[in-house]
Amino acid sequence: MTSSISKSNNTVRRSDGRLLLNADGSACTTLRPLSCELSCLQRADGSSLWKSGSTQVMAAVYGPIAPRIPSQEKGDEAQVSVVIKSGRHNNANNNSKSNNSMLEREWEQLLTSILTACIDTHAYARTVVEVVLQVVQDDGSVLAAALHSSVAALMDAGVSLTNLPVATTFLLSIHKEKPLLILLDPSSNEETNPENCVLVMVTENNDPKRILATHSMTATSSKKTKTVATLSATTVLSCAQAAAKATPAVVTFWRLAMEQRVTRESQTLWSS
Amino acid sequence: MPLATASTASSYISIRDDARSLSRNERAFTRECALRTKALRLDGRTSEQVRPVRLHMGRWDHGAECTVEWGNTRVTSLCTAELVRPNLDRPNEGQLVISVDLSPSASPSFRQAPPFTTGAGIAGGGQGPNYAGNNQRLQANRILRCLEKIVLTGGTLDVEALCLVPAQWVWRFHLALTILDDAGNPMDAAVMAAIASLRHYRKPHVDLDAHAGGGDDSNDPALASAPILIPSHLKEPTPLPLHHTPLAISFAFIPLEDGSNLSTAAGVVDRTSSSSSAGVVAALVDPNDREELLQNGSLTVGMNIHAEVCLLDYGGGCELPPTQLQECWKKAEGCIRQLCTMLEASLEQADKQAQADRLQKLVVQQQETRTTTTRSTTTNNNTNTELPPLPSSPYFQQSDNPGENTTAMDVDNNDDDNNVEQVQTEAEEAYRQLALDYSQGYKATKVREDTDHMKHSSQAYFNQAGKLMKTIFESAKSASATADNDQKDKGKAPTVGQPKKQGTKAATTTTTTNKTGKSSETPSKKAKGTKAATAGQLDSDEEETTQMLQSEFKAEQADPAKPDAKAKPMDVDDDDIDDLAMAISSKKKKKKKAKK
Repeated sequence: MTSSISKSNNTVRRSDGRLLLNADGSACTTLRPLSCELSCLQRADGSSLWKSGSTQVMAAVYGPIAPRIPSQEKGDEAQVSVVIKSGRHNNANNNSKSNNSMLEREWEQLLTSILTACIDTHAYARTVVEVVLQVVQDDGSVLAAALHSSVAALMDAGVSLTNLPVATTFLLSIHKEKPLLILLDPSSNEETNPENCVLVMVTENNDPKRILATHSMTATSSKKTKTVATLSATTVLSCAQAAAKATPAVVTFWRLAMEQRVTRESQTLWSS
Repeated sequence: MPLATASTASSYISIRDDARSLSRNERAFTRECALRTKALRLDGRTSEQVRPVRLHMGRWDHGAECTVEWGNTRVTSLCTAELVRPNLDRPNEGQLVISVDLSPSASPSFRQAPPFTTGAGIAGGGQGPNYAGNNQRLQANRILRCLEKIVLTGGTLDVEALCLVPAQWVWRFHLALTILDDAGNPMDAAVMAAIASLRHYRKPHVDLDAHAGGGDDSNDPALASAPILIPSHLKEPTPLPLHHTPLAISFAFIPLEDGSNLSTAAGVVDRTSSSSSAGVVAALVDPNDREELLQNGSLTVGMNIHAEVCLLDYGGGCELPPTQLQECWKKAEGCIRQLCTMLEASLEQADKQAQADRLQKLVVQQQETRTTTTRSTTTNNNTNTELPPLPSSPYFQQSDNPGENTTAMDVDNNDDDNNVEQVQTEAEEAYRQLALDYSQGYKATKVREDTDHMKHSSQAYFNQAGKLMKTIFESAKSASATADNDQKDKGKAPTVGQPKKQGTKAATTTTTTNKTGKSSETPSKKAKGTKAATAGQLDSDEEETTQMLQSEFKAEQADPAKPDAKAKPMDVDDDDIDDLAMAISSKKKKKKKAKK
């Protein structure tokens, strides 16, 4: 069965066109094409529009700036305040709105803690760094795109970071019977499939083998029978290894984007 | 303190708002310039010019979205629809729910707060950790009400046409507007985004006889005969029945006397003899954020391309003579006509794109139905369960590409698609270059759609060009045959008070052409050139600013120049002519060298 797939011309593809399997039958691990546009908003101190395939997230950074209520300052550290707004709902169903907003609050907390760990907070005492994320298009792997776009916007704003966090999204099948196939960067069809579980691993650039944060999600099943989502420890470890390999790719892309932006600024802003 | 605990619970801390203050100098200067006979604005526009507008549209099965870049203001509108039971007292009418969300990304003065909605929404406002400030509330409310008037009461969308089965199923439309970036006048941008997304939306066909799901429905009478929306690849969806396409344009009123329109120590205003243009109140079309801060009153006119008005929103703030109102009306007609034609062009383009995407989706769907039987999730042969050693993992197999790169995209795109994408990305890149050119006033520009509008504005500046400058330009132009495009960047319309935005201009295009060197340069440069006509900056220091003003007024009488898209007017003092000419020719040479 496996060999017939690889030999035939009808290559099996994932829903957005990426290959499912390599020629040797192993899972094909490709990220969707990335695109990053820095300084897209004029008012914000830093902004970025991050596209990963069809998923688009726009981040705007204001700060470091004093908080509106002075008692909310922290004497020795900066604080990170993250807001996630999603204008688009995948289901045109009112019920999903409340679910989405709970998920968004969870993501906000996660991103706040990740970014607080990676920003040089002691350099900006008594200030707030506000990150506003707008999910322009949701086609899966939104949490990773949100993190990447907020880091890009922070770089654009000139906030110094001690570490670059990279999030890798894994698509795992939760059926224990089927052999494991770890796929990267799922699209929204794959994410909402109740047979799959999505695991997001955040690693940092300084030492990609160490895990900074994880987050797992399972699509809610509309069927009556509940499938409990469990993952084996080896799966999680394999994902960690894969995340370590994926980290340099995103970091290289950030560098590309920043290089482009710096050269462009030098041509336009200080062109004398 | 209750607020402190609330903030720790929700991790959102609102920032201090320093976006709404204007220094006295800036205020006095801007007002003085605006009140002149021929008003001057800090970004180089006349009092009747609208900023360049750019539209992005997208469509999918159950919705449409439109992002408008109005100058630097960016607004997104999302239009979705669902089938619901109608209101008991209005059984034959569909519903429209509009929500306006001033996102904190738009301005530091906006806080994270629930969006303002019509219809049954979350009860926004009130004191709590997330509540909108006064200004935010008023602004959001105003946009919401104007949209309601334009779309609902103005007769754009006929709610009775949204009724599917009388007293049983009606369409409920959600228009969710998000102001992403507030650089002045989010009202007009919001209206355009909303109307564009309504126009771009396609309503799916509905299957009334089908029953959704299995045995569950017998328990729930409400779902007993829920119609199913047919996906777009089975039946092509239809556009909405809109009566007309109105757009809005806003004016900022700056009266002669700050705060009141009566005579003060500055002198008695002689109203009886004032001409229509030298009115008591200056009306600026499409104010940017600085002008909005110093305006006393604001007027929004909602009109369609046939000059039929559906909204007139004047909230007061300054005394307005009726003649002034009429003038604004007339100005609005001209602006709206331009905007409407631009909107139609963009809608057509976006529609074509959406059709092409839909066809592609259809093809993919057909392929999928063919390959569902052969699809399986088997992996390679390894069933090892021991913990893998660190350098390699038997479970995780990496593809042969070095690292998961963006280039490792195994999609079977046609070459055509690739080329189109490449050209599009190049155009985007060129647009970005131009938008980031701070010397040009840092405005987002239209590269493709708004060229007609550009030509009009460039005409206005040509009228003010001195003849001397023209001859110099022509001589400099003839000096270099190929590097003519650089001149566009020299576009200097007389603007005032921009000492920060100095620094040249020809160097930018020089280096950009060196850097990019792509074929799409030419269209982008042309757009740059036309854009340069609207913005501009001084190549000199501030002393000469006042002198420039004088010369600009004298040059009003000059004959209109021939529409030469290649040469731009330059208002520089006589002393600088030689230096400038030399600079131009030297930069031309540099560019010529680089090109070779």
